Amino acid sequence: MGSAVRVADGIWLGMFQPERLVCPRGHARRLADRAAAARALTAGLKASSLRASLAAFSLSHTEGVGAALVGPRSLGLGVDVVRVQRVSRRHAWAILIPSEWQALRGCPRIRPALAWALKEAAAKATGEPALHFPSALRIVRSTGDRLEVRVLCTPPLVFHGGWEGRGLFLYAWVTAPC
Amino acid sequence: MPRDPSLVDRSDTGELVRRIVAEVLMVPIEKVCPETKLVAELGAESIDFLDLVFRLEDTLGKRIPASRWSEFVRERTAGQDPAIAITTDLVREFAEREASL
Repeated sequence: MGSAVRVADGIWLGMFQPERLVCPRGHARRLADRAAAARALTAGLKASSLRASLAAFSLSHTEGVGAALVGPRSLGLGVDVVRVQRVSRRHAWAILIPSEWQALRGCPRIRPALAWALKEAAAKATGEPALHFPSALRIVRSTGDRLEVRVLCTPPLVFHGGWEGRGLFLYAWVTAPC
Repeated sequence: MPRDPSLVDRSDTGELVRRIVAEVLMVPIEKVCPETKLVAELGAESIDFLDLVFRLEDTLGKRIPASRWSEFVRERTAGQDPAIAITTDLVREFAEREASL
């Protein structure tokens, strides 16, 4: 079923998880994943009341589950969905520096998955994911205890981060400050 | 980490990479050919590529920074759709490059 939650002013997270998780392999997996992302987008657009032509959106999919972050056209945004157990400490430490791991200390159960998904979401939000992931992105905890992802470029970019857990999966997103 | 001597012989690198790709993506090895597109045909995700890097680390007995794979893909697939451009053969090239460092 598709569903959506409002994550910020005018920004909606569309989610799709099948009633029964089936994980096909190979090309069938890719087809299932893309269909899931499309259904998440439908849910996000419906909740936002935005027309697709007037919306900015970011998509993610994994294991038959889809995510779509939808907002007004001018916004930079990115989303990633991951099965929490899929991401190990080894994965997280491969893409983080120690201060980033420390910034995520308040989320022990989902810490590696949150690290991965936030960086993936931020990479997408830059519009050039291959250029920035993982080393040009820094997860920080700002004053006010907000999670941010900073892009090490000139001029620097800052994204606000957030996340939502649904069953086995974690949805993480970033948005550019208004 | 002990180094797998089979990777020293480059003629075996292709077969080793095929086996690693099949195991990481959980597909029959018969579906993994040199020209197989790992994203478009086998459904590989970004975290799967990190698992491939980890398997190469374990085989070579040395650390391979994740950024080195990212940089390699960027330089070798510039202007192309990664879903099509990342093939088994590209992973083999990366493995051979890492083995030679």
